Amino acid sequence: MRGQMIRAIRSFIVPGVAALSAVMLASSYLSSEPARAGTSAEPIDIVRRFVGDPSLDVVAASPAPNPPGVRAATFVNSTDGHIFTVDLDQQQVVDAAMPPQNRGTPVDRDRAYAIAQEFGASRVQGFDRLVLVSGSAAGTHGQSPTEFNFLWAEQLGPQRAKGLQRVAISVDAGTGSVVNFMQVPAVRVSVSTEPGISREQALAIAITDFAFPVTNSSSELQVWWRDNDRSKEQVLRWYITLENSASPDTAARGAVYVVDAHTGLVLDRLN
Amino acid sequence: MKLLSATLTGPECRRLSTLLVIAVVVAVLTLPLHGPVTFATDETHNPPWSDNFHFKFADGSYTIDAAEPATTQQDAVGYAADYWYNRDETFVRGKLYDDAVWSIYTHANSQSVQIYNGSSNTWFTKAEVRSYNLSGLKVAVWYGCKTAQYTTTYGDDHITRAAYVSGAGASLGFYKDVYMSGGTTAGPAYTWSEHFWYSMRYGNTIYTASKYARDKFYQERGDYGGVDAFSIWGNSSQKMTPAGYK
Repeated sequence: MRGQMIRAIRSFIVPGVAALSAVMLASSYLSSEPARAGTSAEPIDIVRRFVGDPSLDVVAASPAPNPPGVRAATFVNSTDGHIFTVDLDQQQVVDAAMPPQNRGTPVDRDRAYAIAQEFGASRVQGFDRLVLVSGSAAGTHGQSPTEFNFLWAEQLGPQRAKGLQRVAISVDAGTGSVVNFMQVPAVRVSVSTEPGISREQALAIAITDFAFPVTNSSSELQVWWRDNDRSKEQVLRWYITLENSASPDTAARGAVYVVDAHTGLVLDRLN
Repeated sequence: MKLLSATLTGPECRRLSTLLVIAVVVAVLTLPLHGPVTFATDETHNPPWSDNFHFKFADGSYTIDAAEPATTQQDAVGYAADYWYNRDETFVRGKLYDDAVWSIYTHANSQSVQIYNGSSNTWFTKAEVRSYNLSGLKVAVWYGCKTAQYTTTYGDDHITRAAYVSGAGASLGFYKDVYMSGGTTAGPAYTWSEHFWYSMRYGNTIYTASKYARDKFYQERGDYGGVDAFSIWGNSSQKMTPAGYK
């Protein structure tokens, strides 16, 4: 509603009133927290609030590919490399690429983690109940790390299934700047997180279908959307990776199996 | 030698044979000094060329569609962009040294990538890449398993690095397995490609685009599927824009 009023004012009233509106809008950045789900705001304002800069220079880009079932808008600054995606239904920034700030001092992993945690906590609802599931240092061919990457996820149920809500943050090692942000916003989990098919059973299903020797495997219990489509129902799935590194046959070198953890049905195979 | 022996005496024949052997040995030993064989110098075109390759393999796995979003985004910024399906190795190789931007989506290892022309497989090797002058190539993308993997046998001498050593501005590969095709979902190769090249189109560096594609891939599929294990050789700030040769 507020957005509609602002559009009307800007379109039809003399510049003095438009300037007053701009002042009113700018003052809202000084006091409000980052936009949360449920508020209504212009997508570009959501971006500017996300970075804490009401004058951030970005423009709307042509529609970007987005996950099936997601409505989103993309904003870019082609000069300095900013790129942002706003989920229009969740009213949140769901991914961001931001160049490192020139000001800043090198950070180690512990400091980078603290920076990433603070960034996530100030912008993601429910961040405090997420669990760190991976942290890694990215570097250039054996040199010192150039970036620290962290991934958080909710863990659900007795077997700690990885839930839908995920957050990934990357911190530039040279400046301590947050340079990448990605989230899958929190939604109500509508599927039972108690698997009916055990990890071993799911692995057996995958290996039987694979029909080649397996030298290594991994598996993880996850909640996700069927067919990666957020307009479809959620599923509890075993995400299984099979490897046969010794095989010269590309078909036999490995595959990923997605197995329904309630029915044992193979939902997808990647090879 | 029988013909020669009809006109030469025995000792002369033996001397000639000895001289021939010595000449061959000397030629072989000095071969490295002649430098790598260059199949072609890079040519430039206006508008600059970009080519992208995808396949459907005999085992049913595929990357078909992965090259198409690459082409769309390259075309949008001024390249004469094309995508090719199941072309043979000669064709694929020939584009590499004439292109400003080049990408391939296929089965691979650290030393070679698989080329399938619809009936037979061949392997486009690191050695072949090293034989080219790629000084006009801005960006090369090797979407395939372990195309940038460090190995105990070869170290970091893999096909991704080979393109950079041969003159490319930046060459991108992966040091883990990545996946080609899906069953009920869009193929992982396609998912990665559409996000990577979208980012490149809007003026991002190859490094930023790789991370953008990584994050978008995860958002869609709920797992990184190996695309977080990217490795860039050369200039990580290399851009595709503005359209042109390096």
